[in-house]
Amino acid sequence: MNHEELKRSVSAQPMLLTSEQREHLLNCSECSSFVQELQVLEARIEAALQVPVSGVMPKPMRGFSALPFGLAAALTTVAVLLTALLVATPQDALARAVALHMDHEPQALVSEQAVDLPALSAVLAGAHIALLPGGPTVTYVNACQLRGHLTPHLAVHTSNGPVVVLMLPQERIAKRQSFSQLGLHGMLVPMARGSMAVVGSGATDLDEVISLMSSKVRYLD
Amino acid sequence: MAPVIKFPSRRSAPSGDGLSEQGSKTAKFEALCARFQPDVFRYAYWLAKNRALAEDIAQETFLRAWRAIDSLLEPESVRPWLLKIARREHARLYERKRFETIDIEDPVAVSDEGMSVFPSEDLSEVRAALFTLSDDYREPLVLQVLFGLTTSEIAEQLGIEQGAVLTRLCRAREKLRVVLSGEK
Ligand SMILES: [Zn+2]
Repeated sequence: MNHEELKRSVSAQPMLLTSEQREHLLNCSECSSFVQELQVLEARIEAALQVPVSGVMPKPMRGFSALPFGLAAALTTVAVLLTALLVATPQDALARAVALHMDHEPQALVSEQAVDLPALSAVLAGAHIALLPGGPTVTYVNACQLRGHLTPHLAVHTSNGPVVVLMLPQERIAKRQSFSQLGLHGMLVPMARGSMAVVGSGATDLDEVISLMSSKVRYLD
Repeated sequence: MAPVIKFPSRRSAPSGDGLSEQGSKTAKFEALCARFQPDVFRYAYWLAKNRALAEDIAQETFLRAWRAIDSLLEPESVRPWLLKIARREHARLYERKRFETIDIEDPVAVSDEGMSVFPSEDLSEVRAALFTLSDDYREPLVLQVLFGLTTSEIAEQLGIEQGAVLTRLCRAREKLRVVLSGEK
């Protein structure tokens, strides 16, 4: 077992060392300090995962408000349609991946409350991106894997409904590419680093979101 | 109609003999809630990333558990069973789009955490880092760290290969290390 193998295997189960791993650690100060740090991290992770519990259990069903059901359904349909549509174009593989991804994350399209700034910053920072103040109102944020890259997935509030933005710093594209079908549309936009995908309904103004995002996005080193 | 269920009071543990069948079912259920509600809530929270949704998922999970409680056998199978229900409820919630808002909040703001050995700023920092993980990476980590599931149990819960679980766990920690060291 070499150093890399040891680090990988211990990273998968830091609290459960095998005899083979222990033997390596006895003779390797580099790896044993790695494992010590990992176990400290593990304790922090465990403490962080134990969020305060709320909600007295179980209580009578609370009614879910019937929020933008139709909109979400429409946009999900769109994602599926986009998927079919995008296949035939240049940059199609990227566009297809974007559309497929949207279909997997319909919840991004229904929130209306702004997300907390620290969570937004943390997700963006994970992809070496920052958003300057005065940018769009972000109502959903998630860090997703898209084609092997960490991809910040945002929903941006506009007066005509939510628009989804995927930041794709690792995905270079040659030029803007748009798609339209059944009142819904998406756009791939080249950026200073890689690209950005913006998808909304027919009523939403993608250009507004694109220009706002373009002026407020900064790429970190 | 949903059953009316009380949270178990610490003092009135039912005395075995005189219980009606319904009474013993209720007692069994109350014990189950008391024991597993934190686990189910936390699992739901890290799936949904939202406290109100996590409460709804946990509640729905226990309502389903109540209906199925008669079929419940060994105590050690209860938690994996509840976690499976919670996972399904989370998926179902999105399928039906019966939800209010999705937002990532700071869980620390909800109640104080004087019990933790780590300062609350550190917990917030680690939580922010956990939010940066993709769902595919975060979920196996939650199952392993919070509930002590083995990698084969995680594989079963997620319906993926054990090798994939190991890879995700390893990458999840790598990412956390990078994100957390970058902030310092
Ligand atoms: Zn070594």
